[in-house]
Amino acid sequence: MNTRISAVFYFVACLLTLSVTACDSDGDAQRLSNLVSIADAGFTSLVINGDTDTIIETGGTTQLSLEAFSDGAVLGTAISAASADWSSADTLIAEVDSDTGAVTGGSVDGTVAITARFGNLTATTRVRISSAELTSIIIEPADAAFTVNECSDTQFVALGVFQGEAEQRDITDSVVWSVAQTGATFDEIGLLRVTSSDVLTVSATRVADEEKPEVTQSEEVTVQDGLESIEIVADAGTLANGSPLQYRAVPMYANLPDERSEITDNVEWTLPPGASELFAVVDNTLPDKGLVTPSQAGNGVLSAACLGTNISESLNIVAEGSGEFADLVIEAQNSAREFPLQVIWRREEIAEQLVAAALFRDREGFEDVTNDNDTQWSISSSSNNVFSIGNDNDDKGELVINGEGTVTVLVTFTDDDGNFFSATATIVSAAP
Amino acid sequence: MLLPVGASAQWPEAKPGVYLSAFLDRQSLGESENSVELRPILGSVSAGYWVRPGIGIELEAGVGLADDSLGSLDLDFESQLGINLRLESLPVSRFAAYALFGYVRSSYDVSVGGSSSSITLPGGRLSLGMTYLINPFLRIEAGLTHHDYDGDTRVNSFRFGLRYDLDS
Repeated sequence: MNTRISAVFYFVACLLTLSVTACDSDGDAQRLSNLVSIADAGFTSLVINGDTDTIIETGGTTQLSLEAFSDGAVLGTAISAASADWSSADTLIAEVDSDTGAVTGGSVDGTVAITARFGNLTATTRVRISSAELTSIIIEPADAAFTVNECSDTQFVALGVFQGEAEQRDITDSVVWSVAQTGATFDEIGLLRVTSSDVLTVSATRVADEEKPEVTQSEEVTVQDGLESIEIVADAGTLANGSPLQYRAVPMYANLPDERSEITDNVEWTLPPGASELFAVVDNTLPDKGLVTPSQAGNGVLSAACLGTNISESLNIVAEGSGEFADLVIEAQNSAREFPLQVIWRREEIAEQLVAAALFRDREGFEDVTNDNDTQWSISSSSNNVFSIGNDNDDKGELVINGEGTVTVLVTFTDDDGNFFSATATIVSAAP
Repeated sequence: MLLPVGASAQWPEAKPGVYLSAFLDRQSLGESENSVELRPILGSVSAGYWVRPGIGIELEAGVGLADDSLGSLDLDFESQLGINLRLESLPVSRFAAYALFGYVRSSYDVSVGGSSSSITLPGGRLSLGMTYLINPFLRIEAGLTHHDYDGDTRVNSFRFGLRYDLDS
């Protein structure tokens, strides 16, 4: 009895498994999730590539994009092309990858309708395939001016002129962008990042292959020498251990007081080596330039500099910790004196007492920690060897000067929770 | 996890024989990157056979009992067919743990703005749950199921029902 029942179950199970696995419902799961997204967002229409026609070369490729709109909405929502089903009305003219929306021009010139289906929404666009030869390239700045500012970036556009066609095509993404001088760099899509140079020669090149000759065009771009200063501003938030904070560089141009577009990606970001190793690092690589990531509480001087110019800005930044300690600064004994501290050298040894002042979270005002056991004084850098600083119990913070020059003094302080803070100060000794 | 541990079993473990189940499945169906969910309810029956103690093969069939809607989208749960491999532990203090490794085909009727279409989702699933022995023949069963479908569709469900072991 049991053997017979077992055999029946195995037989039915196998039949069901075969019927289930044989059922080709690929895409239904994606369609259902698309329908849920559409219903949730209230989308009522779909648009391909901003509703503009596309032209590509024979054998060329382009990626189509999708946006969905709700009733009456002006701004659409980008939809992943991979979420939609794509089809071409004529695969001889162009094929479209049904999963990705990538169009490849076929062997026949012509215009073809490409349709995307996303849930219950559909959209159609026209793609024209042309085998016309590229005869020349026109380079245009996006703002139509061949003048750029120091440390700024400018988007350039390459327009292709094709044989027998009146219409120029945007080929910005398919040319190779280059600049002859070292004071600037291009990214792959024609964005020019300028540091400093007088005149730049920028080029857009359609690289030759077996079937097509090289076509190139160059233009001269003037770099305006007008950067006066940089302001460092932080995004909203708190710089604390485990919480990175984005800092941004905003330029001030002498001739363009209203031009305040940030230049965060074009400046050189640094934290002094001593401090950066101890409490935080700043990212100086795209796309995270200016992002400060603290590893513990502490402070340091964050700098943003426009390379090739002498324009830079520094900002004392403080990373909060869980301990009681909050900040550290160096002061002169007469706290009214400002840094860089000016000292008059009269051919006699001078002793200048410096004060380390600490701010504690649970107390008001700065407190003198000059002689604290956890306070360490040292010379960070100096123009010559006429300076020395005391770090013993009886002379901590005492700067001895035996000549003219410039010195940077470093003081460090570690609190009971292990939070490390540092501060630097510059003293200039000069004859009267 | 499915092996007996600790206290000796008060009730006999599942042994070769036929069992029948009836249960309700409440699905949570949505898009993987979106917390919005539709929650249809399915009523199912299944028949299984213990090929070895603690190892059963079962077939199940269900129909939708309650539909759900989201905005202009109406989701009707039409039917579900499935086959499961059941692994079940010895009961300890009347409780036993089970796991189902299955393959199902769920059919939905989806209506948006007046036009409807059928959607069939074939895929694997894994259920983990507990049974409670009311008597040597009858158990209450409850568990959670994760369905693995293609695309971005996310389906989980909660199952609650009764199981009757004919040959216990």
